[in-house]
Amino acid sequence: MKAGSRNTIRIAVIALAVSLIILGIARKEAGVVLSKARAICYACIGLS
Amino acid sequence: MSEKRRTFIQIVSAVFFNGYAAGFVKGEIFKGKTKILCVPVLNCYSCPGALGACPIGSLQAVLSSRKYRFSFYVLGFIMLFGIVLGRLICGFLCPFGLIQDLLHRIPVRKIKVNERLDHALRYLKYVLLAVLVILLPVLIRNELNMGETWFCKYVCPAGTVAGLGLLAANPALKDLIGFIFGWKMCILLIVVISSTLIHRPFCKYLCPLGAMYGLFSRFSLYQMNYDKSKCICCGKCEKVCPMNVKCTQDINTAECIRCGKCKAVCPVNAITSTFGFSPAGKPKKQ
Repeated sequence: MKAGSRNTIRIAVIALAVSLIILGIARKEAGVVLSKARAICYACIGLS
Repeated sequence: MSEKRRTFIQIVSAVFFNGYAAGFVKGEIFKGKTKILCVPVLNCYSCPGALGACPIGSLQAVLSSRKYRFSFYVLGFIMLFGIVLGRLICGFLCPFGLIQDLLHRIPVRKIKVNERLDHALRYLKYVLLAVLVILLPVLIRNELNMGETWFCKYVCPAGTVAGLGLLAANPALKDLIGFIFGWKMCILLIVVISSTLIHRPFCKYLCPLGAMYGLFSRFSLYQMNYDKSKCICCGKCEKVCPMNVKCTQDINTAECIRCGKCKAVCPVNAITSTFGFSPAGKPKKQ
């Protein structure tokens, strides 16, 4: 693969990733992550 | 880069991602605002020291929630980490990778997995990613329309390590030990024992995060380069590779964790690594 095409893919993926994060914040998904991560997940550690 | 230096970076990274030391003493988890951010590594957010959120746990948490069926937020983080560093994260930053590396240093007789079996088992991590991390949390719902974090609950040994940390600091949690804990301890035990015999079995066969980062291996900003014109075909690189990558055939495969052992051992510097955008008009050496 040519370096130019590789770079184009990289830029596109970075732009898409940043857009997804911003979209996720707008959809308030980040709040779900924060609330789950702040409480002990007993299932995750096998203590349910 | 020497192996000692890589180990040092792994230790610093593990301490950095689990920097809430008080959690290990009090038997509590960190509840600060940094937990809104996904860390690039498999580091359970229920670990007493964890300062951020595990991307695999977060992905399942959002997918299994009442409100959402897709997580743009977590996927964005994973894509960003993947395209910038790729599986360099596995080789240098992941605390569970460090644990496996240390276990492999225990001087016991190592075993070589049959090549066909090894090849087949490599696909297992993609199956776990598709089924336990994505499909089941979305599809299987309880009466409250909530799913479960299937991979975390039934497989993830990193979560079990976090659970052991919490149990050690907070004996009151012992009342909650049940079948799932026993099941997960068995998986952890299998991973621990196999790590002493095989290099990084969890990364090779089970890790869904490694599977996702592997998808970006050919395009990530951090790349390994192999210069065929310099190669003297001594085979040292392939012999030293912990992930059994055929360096001379396909060095940027999804299985390469960019540990740099091949680069260090090459007597003629035929293997190099680069970080950043490739200079335009110059094809990559392969």
